Amino acid sequence: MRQMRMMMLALLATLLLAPQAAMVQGLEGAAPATKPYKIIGVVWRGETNVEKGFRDYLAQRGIPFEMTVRNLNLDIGNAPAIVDEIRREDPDLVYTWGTGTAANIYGRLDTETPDKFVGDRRGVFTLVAYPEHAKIVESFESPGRPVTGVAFLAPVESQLNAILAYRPFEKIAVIYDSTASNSRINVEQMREAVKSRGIEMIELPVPLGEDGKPQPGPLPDLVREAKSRGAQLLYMGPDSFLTRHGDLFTQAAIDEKLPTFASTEAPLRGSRAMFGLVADYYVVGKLTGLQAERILVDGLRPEDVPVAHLGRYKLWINMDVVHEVGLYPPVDMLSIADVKTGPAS
Amino acid sequence: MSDQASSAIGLSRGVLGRLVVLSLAILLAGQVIVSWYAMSGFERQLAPEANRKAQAVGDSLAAQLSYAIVDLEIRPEDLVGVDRLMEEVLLANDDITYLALLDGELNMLFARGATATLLEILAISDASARFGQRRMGAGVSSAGNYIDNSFPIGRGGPYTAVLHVGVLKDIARERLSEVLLEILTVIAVSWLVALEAMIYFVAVRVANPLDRLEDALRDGAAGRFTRRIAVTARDEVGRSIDRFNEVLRRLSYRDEDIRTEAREIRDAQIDSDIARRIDETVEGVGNRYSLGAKEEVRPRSAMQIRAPLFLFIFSEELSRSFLPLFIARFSPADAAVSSDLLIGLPITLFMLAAAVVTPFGAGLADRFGARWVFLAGVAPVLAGYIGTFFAQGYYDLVFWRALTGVGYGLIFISSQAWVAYHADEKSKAQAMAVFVGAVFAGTVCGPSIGGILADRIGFASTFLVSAGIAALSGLLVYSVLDNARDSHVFSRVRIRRSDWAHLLRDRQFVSVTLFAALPGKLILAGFLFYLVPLYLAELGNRQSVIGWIIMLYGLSTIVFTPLASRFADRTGKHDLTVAVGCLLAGSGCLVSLMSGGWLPETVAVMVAVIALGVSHALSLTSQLAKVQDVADRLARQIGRTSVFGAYRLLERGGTVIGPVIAAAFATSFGYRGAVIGVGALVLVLSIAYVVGVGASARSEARGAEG
Repeated sequence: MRQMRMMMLALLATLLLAPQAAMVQGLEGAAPATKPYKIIGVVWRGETNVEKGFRDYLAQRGIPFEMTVRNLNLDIGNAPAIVDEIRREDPDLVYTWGTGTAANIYGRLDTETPDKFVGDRRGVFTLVAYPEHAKIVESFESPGRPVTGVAFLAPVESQLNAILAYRPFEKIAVIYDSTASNSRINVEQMREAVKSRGIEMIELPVPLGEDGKPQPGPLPDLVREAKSRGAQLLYMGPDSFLTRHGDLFTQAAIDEKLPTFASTEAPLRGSRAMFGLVADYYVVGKLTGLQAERILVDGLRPEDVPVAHLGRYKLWINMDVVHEVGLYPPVDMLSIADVKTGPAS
Repeated sequence: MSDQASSAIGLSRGVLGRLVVLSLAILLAGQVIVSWYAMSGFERQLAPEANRKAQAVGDSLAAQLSYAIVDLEIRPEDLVGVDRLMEEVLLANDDITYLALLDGELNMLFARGATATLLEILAISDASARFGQRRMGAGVSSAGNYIDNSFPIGRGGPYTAVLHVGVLKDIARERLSEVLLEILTVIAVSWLVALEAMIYFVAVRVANPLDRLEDALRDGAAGRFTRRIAVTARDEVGRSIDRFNEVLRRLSYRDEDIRTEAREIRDAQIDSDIARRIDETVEGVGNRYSLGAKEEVRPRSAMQIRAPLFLFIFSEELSRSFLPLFIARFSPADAAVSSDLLIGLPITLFMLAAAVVTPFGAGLADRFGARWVFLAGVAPVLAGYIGTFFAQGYYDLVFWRALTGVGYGLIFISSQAWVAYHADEKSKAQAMAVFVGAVFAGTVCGPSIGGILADRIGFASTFLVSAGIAALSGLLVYSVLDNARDSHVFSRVRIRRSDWAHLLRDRQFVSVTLFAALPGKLILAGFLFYLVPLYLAELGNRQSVIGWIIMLYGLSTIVFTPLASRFADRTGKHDLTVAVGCLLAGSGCLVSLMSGGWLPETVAVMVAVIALGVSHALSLTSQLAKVQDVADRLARQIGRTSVFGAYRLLERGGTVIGPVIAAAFATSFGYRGAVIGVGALVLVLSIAYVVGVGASARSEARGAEG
């Protein structure tokens, strides 16, 4: 508990101090601009704070760059055209946001058609939950291809610490898309982690349609089922299906007076999850910028740059949801959490 | 004390007495003035300081609560985790007595550290503030025995909650009395140390050399000018004695000159009659005056050991008040035996090591001299203290403590040997007073100063201070003591099997050793050394207070020993004093039976400690007298020293088993139960003693009639 609290305080301190420190470094490191580095960025659903952090970092470090951003717009069908463009434009660095984007731009390590991707070019990925499992890299320490990046998920142990600091929950439910590897890996890890803490976990995979894809329709029923089976909390892992249907899912939870914990920012920022332990997108962006700097400025080969992860995470509480659910956070948690009082945008 | 000291060094009360009274009075005057200034400053600053802290803590807590209640609009009654937060705040700030949160309707929502009555007072005071229509401001008011600080929470309009932070009014006074106690302790100890230093210098540098000079002058009056006095000090007394030695030397030269001249005159005489008369005259002078510094006389210097011994006992007693607590930090959690026993074990091993080494030490002292044995004891003691400071685990600690015990045994026995070597028959009692005085002074000074030190620099570092003092003691022995010995042999004790047979069949011996001496040491080691520090710490006493209470043992022994021995010597009722003493020690511990209600547990322990001191004062000297009786009676079968050796051996057995027995009680019944248990055990043994003595007295009486 105490350790947890210390961690949170350290996190706050880092968040407050990091930009200033970076600024100072940026002034020192300012070099006369020569030819700007050409970067092509590919995002999944429009730009986020990650890109802002990425750009800010490079600017503060005085690194000249020109960044073009392409949007997959939630459709991997748009990927081949962008891959072609990257080949044509021959940028100094490729940037991708999210697991799906990385998989469809760089290709998975075990793909049989590597020529359909640009995995042979220097690239950084960001916001990938499990880069190893998703076969984007061979390992965190040595990626095994000229692509490296930033993993952003808080370790499940830290997530559980945050959950238990809120309340000593004894039964939690996880509703997930069993077709997505991220979700499966996450559920496996949670299954292991809850054992040692005497917590019961109810697993509810989302039913698949005839096309083999998960269906959003039954989500409210799944929430009700979790409630009737005695779940005290709904856990949301890095699940893009659930994130996409976050509004439906979280509203169903609120209706059932069930708190939701999110391990990624989107359900907290975009939907109405109650609280979560998440990476700050802006900080993730900056860390991605640091990876880019190592490759572009320091001249390191991306295959020699280990995948980075954040040391500190943000405890996010949506107070309006708390009021509706009626399950208040402990007073001492309030002073270290990032408490959002306005309605989620 | 000064009476005993001055008689011990054979100086007229006039000189030392006046010196002691005058210097201690000056010392006291200075100390009182400085302490008074310090205390009044302390008092001025402490009281507002305590409340300022309450204000700071209240501000930050109120800000936290206000964020939740006002900014996040959580209703006060919906707050979660306030109890735990309050508990943490109280834990981190022991000056703050209570925290309470009331809502706008004056319902008590959360409270920690406050009593029911107090909560009512708070509610009423808030209510009156409300009905009086005055806006509740952040205010300081009085609530019973507390200074209450209130922090209203709410923005504009009526407040939604009030946080109360309370400080005990007496906290300043309480702290003050603790400091006062420490100041008094330091004054008392500095008195004793000053006294020790004065006794040492006056005795070693002035009184003893002057005694020898007086003897030599008395010899001179009788015509013997043969004894040089060996004094090396370059002070006034040393210079006078140098002069005296010079006079002796010159006299002897003159004597030689006269003899040579007389021989020349005689050789020049033709008349054999005159030659014979000259011879006769020279011979007659030679018979009347013996001249020539043929022998060297050393000042009788039993006293020289006192300062080093005092310093050493002081160094060892420094850890007396916290040793078990220190050991407890190291005791492994997964051991097969109870942790209480693990805590007692190093104390027992220390005593055992000391007991085992003692007879060897006596033999070594006879062969190599007390000085070398003392120095040989300082080495393991220093290693033991420093090793204890660096100890990482339980087993190294046990080893270092046992090593210290080895040194302790050597130093203790070598000091006794020194006293025996340097005291003749007529001054033996005084010389033993020197020894006992140093030990008592150390047992008074050590625990109290050790407790104060431990509060400030910690347990481990206090062992470094011990090492420093022990080193000083060794240095003093090395530079001041000489290695020469009188012809006395400090007898090595050999107890044969047949001796044991005689002794164990002797009812008086068995009753005085097994039912009086052994329980006396058992309760000393088990109760005072082991239980008192643990129990008092459990009751929440500060280390300096624990040290102070343990000091009461030495203090009461010092105060009562002269009274008790005077009474016993005058009346000859040794049985009575031994019996009363033994019964007193056991019953003292049983006072804890009544503690808990009107009698605070700490006070009950204090009573038991004082009772133990008085008990030892009453019984120790008389026990020796009883053993003396036995030795006289059995003189034909067993050597006196063997009787005393057997007595000491059995007595030391008490210090070895004491901590083990106390630990066994503590495991089952807790510390309070263990105090009562040890007390009951000792009381039972004492009653057995009383019954045994009564029976033997009756049988003697019958024997006298028959």
